[in-house]
Amino acid sequence: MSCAVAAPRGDVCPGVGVRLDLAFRLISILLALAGLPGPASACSVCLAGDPSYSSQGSTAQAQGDVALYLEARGWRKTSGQLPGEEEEEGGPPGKERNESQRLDLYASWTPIDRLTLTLDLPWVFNTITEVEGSTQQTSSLSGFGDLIAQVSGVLWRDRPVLPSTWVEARAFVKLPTGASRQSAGGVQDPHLQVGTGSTDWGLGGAVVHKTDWALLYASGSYRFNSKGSLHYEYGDVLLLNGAVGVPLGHATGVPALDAFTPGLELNYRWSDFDQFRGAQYRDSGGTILYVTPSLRIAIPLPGGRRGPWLRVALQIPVSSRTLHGFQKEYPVWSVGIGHAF
Amino acid sequence: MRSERAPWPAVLLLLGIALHAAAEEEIRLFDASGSEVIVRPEGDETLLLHFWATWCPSCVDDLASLGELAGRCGERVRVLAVDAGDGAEVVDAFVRRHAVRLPVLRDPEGDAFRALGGHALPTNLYWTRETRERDAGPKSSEEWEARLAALGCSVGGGEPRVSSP
Repeated sequence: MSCAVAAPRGDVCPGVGVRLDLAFRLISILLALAGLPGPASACSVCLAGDPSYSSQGSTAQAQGDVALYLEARGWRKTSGQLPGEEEEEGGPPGKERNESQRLDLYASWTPIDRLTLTLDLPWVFNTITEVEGSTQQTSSLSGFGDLIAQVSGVLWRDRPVLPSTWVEARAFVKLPTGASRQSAGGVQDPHLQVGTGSTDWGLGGAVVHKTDWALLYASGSYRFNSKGSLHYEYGDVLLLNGAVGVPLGHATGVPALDAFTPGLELNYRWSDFDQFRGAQYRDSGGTILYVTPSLRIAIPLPGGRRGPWLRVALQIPVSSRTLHGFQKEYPVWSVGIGHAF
Repeated sequence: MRSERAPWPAVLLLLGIALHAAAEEEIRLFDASGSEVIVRPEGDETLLLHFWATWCPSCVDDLASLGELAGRCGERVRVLAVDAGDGAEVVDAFVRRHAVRLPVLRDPEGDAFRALGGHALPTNLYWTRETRERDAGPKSSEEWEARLAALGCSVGGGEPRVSSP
């Protein structure tokens, strides 16, 4: 079995072994931990997961590598109105529905061994519907969102060439490139803007281990958010992620399945309350857990050359009890295509 | 709406691609004694650098197949097996245990492998003074026969040579 085509992006040469039983056991344990999917609520800084894992998988880029990954994502959430907004006297409390789709282009480059620079260039489509009693008002905005630049370094690895285990540290900054005070239909809402208007930064790390039957991945990050435009400040965010991927070709010994790597992630998020005009936004922040099944398909090229890869995933919120106030979130879909040069 | 589009992401990408595409004139490797060996194609020969590693199961059969056939290549093709990333003692033990029939050099930190854009093992570099071609993944004996024949290995019976330090 070719090491060049059996693993995602062909960067590892695990042994051949039929270890599906272990894979199924681990997946079963993860599913049991996650529980059955059910309704869940959102936080203010929506989304969870690890963009590095989505865009690169369990891959340590080699010196000189350049990789591009284009991903489309969409999600929807409902939450209570921002503090200070008018509510109809005697009526039900107002709420807002947010729908968003975004295209993210992740460009990463490894100029020297162990060090990778990544840029996330997002294009965002936001729609917000404010519901107050029997009236609804829908507004939309789209545009270039907040650019995120990340630097990651491999602190330790088990071998210099195609490592099977490594530890990575990361630091990132989010720039207010998508900031605006644009109104849509007379509405100027911080949740409608394509960027937050704040410069935020964060630290994180990841551990990756590859066996002959699976790719194991764990990562965490903490994001320090600052005050942005429209008097709004998102709460700080902690993200923890665990993932397992099973390259089917290796696991089954069937070369025809070399290209397929199904995976399962657990994505945890804690976030602090948001602040709006100096007041705490009670329907923001808290903790939530998602389970994310995914499928990664490597498209092989002749001669063992690296080809593009596709990834589809569905992030399903499974726990909402510890979110603050009234928040409800729906599954997040994503589809991406990438290529390393 | 304000939209800032800094040009430097594109510049970084272009720099990366340029760096990635930069060709090496020669490659520095190490022999069993730890001495540096400079390799480059000489004259009209094709230099075949076969990158492998002791921990790569699929490399074992590939190394054996290539070793069996490389002896037919004579002066037209020079075949060198280059271990990527293993320590000297590990490589020596592997070579003895598997009776590797090819001259073996080492790329202990994987510098040459990375510089060539290697991303999988085994990887082969077919290098002449004018051209440089790369492929990856193990080959069957039949595939190696066809590949080496295309390089001019069907005649002659010379042993593979290793370049001098």
